[in-house]
Amino acid sequence: MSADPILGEVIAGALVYAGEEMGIAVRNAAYSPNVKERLDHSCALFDARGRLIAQAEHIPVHLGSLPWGLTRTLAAIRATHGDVAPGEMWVVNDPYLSGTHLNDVTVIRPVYFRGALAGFAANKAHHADVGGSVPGSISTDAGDLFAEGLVVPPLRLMRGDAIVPETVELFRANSRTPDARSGDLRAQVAGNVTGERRLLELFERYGAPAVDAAIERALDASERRMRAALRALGDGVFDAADALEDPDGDPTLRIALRLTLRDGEARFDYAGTVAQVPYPLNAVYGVTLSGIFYALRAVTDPSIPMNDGCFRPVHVDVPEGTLLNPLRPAPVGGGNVETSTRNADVVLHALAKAAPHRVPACSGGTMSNVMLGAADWAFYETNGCGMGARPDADGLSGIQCHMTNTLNTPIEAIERDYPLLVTAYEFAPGTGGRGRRRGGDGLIRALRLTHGTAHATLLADRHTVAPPGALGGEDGTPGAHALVREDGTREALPAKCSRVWKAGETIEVRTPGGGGYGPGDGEG
Amino acid sequence: MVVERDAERGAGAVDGVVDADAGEFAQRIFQICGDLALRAVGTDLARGDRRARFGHDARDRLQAALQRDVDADAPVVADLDVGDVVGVVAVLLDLEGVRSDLDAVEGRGPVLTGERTLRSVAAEQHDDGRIQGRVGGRVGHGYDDLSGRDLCGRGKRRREQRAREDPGRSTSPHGFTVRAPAKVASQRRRKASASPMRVAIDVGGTFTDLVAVGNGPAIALKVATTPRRPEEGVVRALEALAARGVPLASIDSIAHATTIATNALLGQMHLELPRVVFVTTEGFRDVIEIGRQNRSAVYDLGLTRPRPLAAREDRIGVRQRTDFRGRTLVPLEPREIARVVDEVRARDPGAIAVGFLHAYADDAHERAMEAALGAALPGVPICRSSSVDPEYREYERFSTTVVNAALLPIVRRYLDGLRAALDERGVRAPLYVMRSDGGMARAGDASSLPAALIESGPAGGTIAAAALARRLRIDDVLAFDMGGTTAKAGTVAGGAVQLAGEFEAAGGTHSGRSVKGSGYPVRFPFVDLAEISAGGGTIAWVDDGGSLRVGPLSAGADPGPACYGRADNATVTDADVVLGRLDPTHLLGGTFPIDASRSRAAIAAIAGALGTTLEAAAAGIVTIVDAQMSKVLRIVTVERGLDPRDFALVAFGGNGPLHACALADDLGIARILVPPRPGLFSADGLLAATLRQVAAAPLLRATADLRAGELSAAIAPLLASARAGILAQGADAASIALRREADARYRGQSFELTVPCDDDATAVAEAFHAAHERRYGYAVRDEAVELVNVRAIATAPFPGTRADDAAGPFVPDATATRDVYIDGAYRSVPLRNRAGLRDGEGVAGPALIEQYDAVTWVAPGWTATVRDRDLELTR
Repeated sequence: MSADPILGEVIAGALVYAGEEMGIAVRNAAYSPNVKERLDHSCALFDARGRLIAQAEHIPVHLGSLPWGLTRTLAAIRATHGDVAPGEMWVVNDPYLSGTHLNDVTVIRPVYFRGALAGFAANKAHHADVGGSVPGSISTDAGDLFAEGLVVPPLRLMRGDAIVPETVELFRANSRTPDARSGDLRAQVAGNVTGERRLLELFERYGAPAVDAAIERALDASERRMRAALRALGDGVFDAADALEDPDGDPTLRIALRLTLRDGEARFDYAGTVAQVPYPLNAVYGVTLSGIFYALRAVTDPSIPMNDGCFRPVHVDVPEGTLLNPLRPAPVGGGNVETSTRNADVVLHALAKAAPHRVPACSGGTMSNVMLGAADWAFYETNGCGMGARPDADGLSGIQCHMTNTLNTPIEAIERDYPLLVTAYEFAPGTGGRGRRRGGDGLIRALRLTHGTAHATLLADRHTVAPPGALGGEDGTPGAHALVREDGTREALPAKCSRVWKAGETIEVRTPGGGGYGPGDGEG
Repeated sequence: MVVERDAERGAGAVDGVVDADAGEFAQRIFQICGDLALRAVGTDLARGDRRARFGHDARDRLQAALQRDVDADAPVVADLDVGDVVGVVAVLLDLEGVRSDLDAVEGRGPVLTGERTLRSVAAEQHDDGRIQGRVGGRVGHGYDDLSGRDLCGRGKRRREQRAREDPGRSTSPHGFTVRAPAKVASQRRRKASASPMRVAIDVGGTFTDLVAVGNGPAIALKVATTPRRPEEGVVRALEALAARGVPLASIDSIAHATTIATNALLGQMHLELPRVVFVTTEGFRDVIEIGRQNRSAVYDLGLTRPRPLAAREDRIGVRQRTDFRGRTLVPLEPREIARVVDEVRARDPGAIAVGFLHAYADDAHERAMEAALGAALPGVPICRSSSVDPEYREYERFSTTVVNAALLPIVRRYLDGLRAALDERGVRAPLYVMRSDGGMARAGDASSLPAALIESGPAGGTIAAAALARRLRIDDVLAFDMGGTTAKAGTVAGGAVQLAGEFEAAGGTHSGRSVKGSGYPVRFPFVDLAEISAGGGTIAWVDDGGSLRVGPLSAGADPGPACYGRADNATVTDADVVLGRLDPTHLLGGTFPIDASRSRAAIAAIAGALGTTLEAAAAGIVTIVDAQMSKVLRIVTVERGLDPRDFALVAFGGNGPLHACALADDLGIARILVPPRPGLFSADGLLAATLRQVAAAPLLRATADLRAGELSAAIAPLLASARAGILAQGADAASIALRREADARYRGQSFELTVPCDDDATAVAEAFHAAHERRYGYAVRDEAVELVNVRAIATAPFPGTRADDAAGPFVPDATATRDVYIDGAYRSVPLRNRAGLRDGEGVAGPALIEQYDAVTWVAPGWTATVRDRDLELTR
């Protein structure tokens, strides 16, 4: 049936807007700063077959993982519970089903129209603490998934449109910040309810056949545009590799990629990637997909509406049991922060070989995770680093790059709400790599514990290996961690460490600078 | 003055310059041209060259018509009354048939003065040689009519009456009476003792709008904006007002909205920002540039940040530290102050901003720094964060302070320059400026807090909508403004204009919402608007996926839509032309010629690429742009927890009334209001605005922790300050209204909601729970409620003259029809003149209602009814 193109356009626009509105609903209703301030969440709508039809543009690392997670979670529900039913809302955080790490809790709502399954509304939000050995739940040394925190298989959060209190209790009982758990879960429910309402409005208004036709049309249009964008990169085989630093600081965790571009299709082959590791740097397959789609989108055409059609011309092979496709129950806490960042770097590196004028030099290459807390408080933040220089502009300093885009927490809010004093927050001048275009500088962030004792976990990378420059540009300066005691003595800390933290001690983080682009020092 | 006529269309102009000695005549001719919506060039009047010369043929005709000699170089007759002159002009026009020429002389821009359109000119030559002239026109609402008469119908009745009263009076063969000079003189005297007038001047990107009200119908006019020196546009608008016969000395206040602050931040119009030095806590000098650390566009590898207003080398760290309770952790020593002063002085700043961490809790360090810098660098403007924006969250506070500092010299210069220009022309009226929250402030105050002037331009429309709502006793209206480039929506709920607390100055929008990180955060209350690139000039195109897209690029006013003839962009206006919703030969009440064939060609290209018909493509463009604008309305309602079905839609801007029905249908709104002057509604908003003074202070206490009387004690000084401030603005003490508010949140959250705040802390907490539930769908009643800020707001009506916007005279309208494409076919649809509708008269859709500055499309299922001055659509 040939769909009315205008109506299709209107419906497609309405679906994208529904995704945005879901995001706003989650944010509005959220309780904790993580979602409300840092916007660490993503929302999407799917059709009855579980295909992505609209996604709001929030955190790139959720981008590919939410669709992958939905498919796997539905399969698990159907295998274990029969099927989903009207009035239900499902919650899951098992990374091997839902696609990132334990902190990211996914909530799924099956949507029914006139008794038939019409689609799904789903959203994923970062919960600050889900138990495990360290506050913030992202450790440097958990040996398996179980040590990382509460693992929730698909459970009903709602049944018959009523919250299942036992499920909420489970989250609360396992978290250092129980009130924020129930608050954020409630917000996630609100987000899905909004998505469901909008989807049903479209079905009511235009009828199922028109909406279905519009969806097919939108998926096909995105596929067409993605193929055209891939074709524009030119054909070829492009190899790229990089490494993540292991807990000893050595760059042994190799990520190897062969990108094959041919006639509008792209194949990503990760053979040669290091085997999975017994500490939390493994990235589940969903995270790997996120890195690929982020890089592709950014390099080709970010205006292509993100839906299942974009995925069709892209084929991904990651051998099982590797760092980027680990087997359960390998630990994954840091996988979707550090490993996903490095994966994005590798994909960009490969794309740079295909289209050098479109890809910037390497950015700082770490999310610079800081997790602080005690038995009754938990604080998580990520620090920006230096952005790699672009072909026609310097890199920006002190900014969230690539796979993350969360907002910082105001110093004046941190100091009110936590036993912390921020003693510095400024650029680290001169850390960006020189070149025809200069890499951005990293950041310095220093926090002092004002009273009591706490635990501090730092998870960063590019402390040993400098972020490489591109096409003759200089490397950026690697990052560094330090502990400064009250008497002024300094102790260097590893990129990945976890330790007791005493009042009066200051933790100092310096994030890496971005690589320069092109030879020389400055333009002209 | 050049007045020319297109015989087809009935618009026209008179050619000539008016002699100073016949100043009265000059003003009348000018006014008549204005009344008849004839485009007239005010150049010569403004320059003071007032010789009147008519074209050769015209002179002969005039001579013949007046039965007297008209010397080409001598003053033309000054003793005709208005009605007579109309008749003369009518005859001239009827017999001249000269083509309309719109381009201004010497680049000063045309003066558009009319809402009344000369629709028909009839001249009859009788067998006995008599020529009888009759002018039919549409008289719009609110435009000045010096004599308060219907120039066409009533003039004739008056003449007939006079003929009856004094049969001996001579009547010239053409049917007009020549009056004695004495009458003219007395008319002159009457005019000289004109009533006091309030004037509103709204400087926009293309036009500067002026609306003047006193006793009697309002005067409204537009002049072209001079972007580089916007004060010139303001002055010319006032001069045009003077040319309409209003003595500038009779103006008793001027309400002004300016975009100079936004333009300066955008780096536009060659407005140079000063060198700003920012003095802040050591270790934090980059906070102002790091911002929220996020990218404003997630996938944009070429992303840039806004240029820092204070460069890194001009950001100075000071050894001092205060904690969140306001306690000093590191004292500010005199030696350190001296060092910093030297550093600042060495940079020779144009403005200085001072911002220390937690200064909202204790401002002693900032005050000390300010005092030292003030003493060392007198004449350099200084702002400190604890004065400009005493709230927590350092980045937003520092940014507001730095933006304010950067704007101080420019805005001060602009307002001072404007004042001088006004004084020069004998305008003694005080100048008030609109702020971003829609309140008015005296220019002196406004120039000390220039960051509060950003975003004031768009506020006017929502303020005007609120005034209209008040007038009609409606609580909830949506203000929808669709112009040439953008569509904007704002909300008035429960009678109150919905404000937000923070905006991104000079920032971008994405999907209608402003994008964090794309501009400079400024934390002042501002009218909460959603804005999208959708307007008459928005360009339609087909993407490489084969989909029809509309926007975000716009053809603006230059080159403009394809029908303007300058380029081939298919725009929304072109689609409306193809569909028949806009006149195919002219816009702006017949004064702006367009070429519909170019619209058709441009849209046909789109249709070809889509594989559909011309009309389907045009209808598709309109459908898609309507869907985008519908979203903008949703942003300010649904996303704020409000239901659009509870609202009436006030549609304005040049294109708002044309698209309103589709939006109302989409959102379930059942009532649309089109104000008298949709194209000048923002200027009306200036007249409707009130004085507003706000005093705020942080509190950061839980309601449960507040002891009895503590809340009142915190607010009392704020009330006093707000009251004193508004009195200083010129408010009448008896009419001041005071209100108290608090920004509240659940402890542990970081977003606040504003609720009314009386002395009872428990009641405030309960108000917060209720507001939270309304907005976010839930409340947590056993959770602690924290009051972050408390605020006192004083409002008072604008001092001086009451605006009395009486309706203009009624002109019976000639019925016409036009073919409009509806649901797959062209249908003949009634075309009505808004001024020709009687009060209470209903027009059932489908129908078009035209006026000078807008067209209202009454969709099928809707009915339009005149309610006093407004047009109300219901379904």
